[in-house]
Amino acid sequence: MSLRALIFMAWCALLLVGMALAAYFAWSPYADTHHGGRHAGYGGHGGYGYGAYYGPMHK
Amino acid sequence: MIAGRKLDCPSCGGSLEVRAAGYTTTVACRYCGSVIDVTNPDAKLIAQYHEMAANLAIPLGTRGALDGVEWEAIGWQSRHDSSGETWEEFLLFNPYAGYHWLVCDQGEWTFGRALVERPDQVSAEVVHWQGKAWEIDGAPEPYTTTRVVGEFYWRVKVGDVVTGATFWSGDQQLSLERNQDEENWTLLAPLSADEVGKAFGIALDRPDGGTGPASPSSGRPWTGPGDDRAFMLTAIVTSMLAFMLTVFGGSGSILAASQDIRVPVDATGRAMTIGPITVTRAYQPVIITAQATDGFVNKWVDLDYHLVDRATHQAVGASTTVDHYEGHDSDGYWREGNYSTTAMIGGVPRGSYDLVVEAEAHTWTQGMAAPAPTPDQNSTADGSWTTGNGPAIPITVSASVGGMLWGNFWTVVVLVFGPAVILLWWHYRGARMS
Repeated sequence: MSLRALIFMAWCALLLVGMALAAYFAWSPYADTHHGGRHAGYGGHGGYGYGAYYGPMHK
Repeated sequence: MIAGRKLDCPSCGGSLEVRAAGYTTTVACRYCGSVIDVTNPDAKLIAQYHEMAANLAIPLGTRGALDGVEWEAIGWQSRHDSSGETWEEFLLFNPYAGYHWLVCDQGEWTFGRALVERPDQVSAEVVHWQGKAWEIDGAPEPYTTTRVVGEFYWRVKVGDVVTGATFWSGDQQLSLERNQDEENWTLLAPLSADEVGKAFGIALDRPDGGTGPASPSSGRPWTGPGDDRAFMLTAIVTSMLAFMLTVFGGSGSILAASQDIRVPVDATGRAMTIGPITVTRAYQPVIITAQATDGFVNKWVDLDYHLVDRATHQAVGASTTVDHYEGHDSDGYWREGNYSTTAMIGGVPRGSYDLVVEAEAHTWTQGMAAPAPTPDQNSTADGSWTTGNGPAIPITVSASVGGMLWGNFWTVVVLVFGPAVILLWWHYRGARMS
């Protein structure tokens, strides 16, 4: 077994452990959760925060 | 030794010598690795490669005495088994004693000779030979030839696969190799590196224990040639385990609460509470879906959610937008937006929650929000909004508990296969460039 294979297996094991923890805690990097005050200026584009763009992205 | 025969490699033009002329059928060019049929007077090219010139620990043509016989190294091949473990085999030739093998497996040397007689097969795991029982080590598996240099008495080429197995008795091995045409047995006896070095007058000091030509990517420890299959297998197994974790670690999504609301357009928003939303596991995601039940044009609805724990009054939030725009321009009709959106609040601890929804709807007037209304809107007792005589957008807000975190699964798949593919690409690119 080469060094690169061992490191790759360790990487895969780390990912699986991380995924198991994420499954237990129902955590996802794609969650929309945010904390803090109400945002303003969110008009469908530009993400959270103040001053985001209102209206369509067309043209 | 018998007289050699000289020829030029049809692929790279390198000057080659056939040392066992009359016995040898194929020669693998030491400069480019191309395999040449030397039984053909025109030295026909069998397989063309462009590998780097060989730099063997025992240069082909080197002679050395083992067991009282002077051998000449005439061929070398590298092979690997199904686990990706590689080893190297030198083909030795003496015109009176025939062919023998020097095998180097991770720095361990063995000296082999082909058996004329076939050992008696007692069972799938045991054979008898010369009064001794030899026990198999592991199951038979494919051996694949990965690199070839020099001359051979059979038609060898990169990619040749045989089924092999090793039987042990003490420190000696019987190696079995079988393909669809034949079955070969070889007796392998251990030799120390010192014995090999002294016999051939060479220093065997490769730090990796290998002896053969440096890999095209030698010096880059990430790109050894024998681990490709292990890499892909590891990636596939990891992805399967990630899939199982996603399916069995998640739960079915259960609708906890749903309510219709009418959001006044260009009016001050009001809060509305729906619930209860009960999280039964230690942690679960809460999925909130907003679906506009009637179509609207050039408007958007900002939706702010606050999931409030009934016991602690702590809240986590999320935001999303329902919008739809359309119009005409020089290219014709266009439209964009969605009448339905989903927001996920992850990691919600076990408990009972209320979902507070704040919604504001606005009209898009070519880049400007419509002016704020006078505060003449009021919420009704059932939580829905009235908008006076103004328009309102009906939206159904639903909250579900649980579900599969497929985003996590696909992230793991990318993080597993991404490095694997990059490393394999690097390895094969290095081989091609060399």
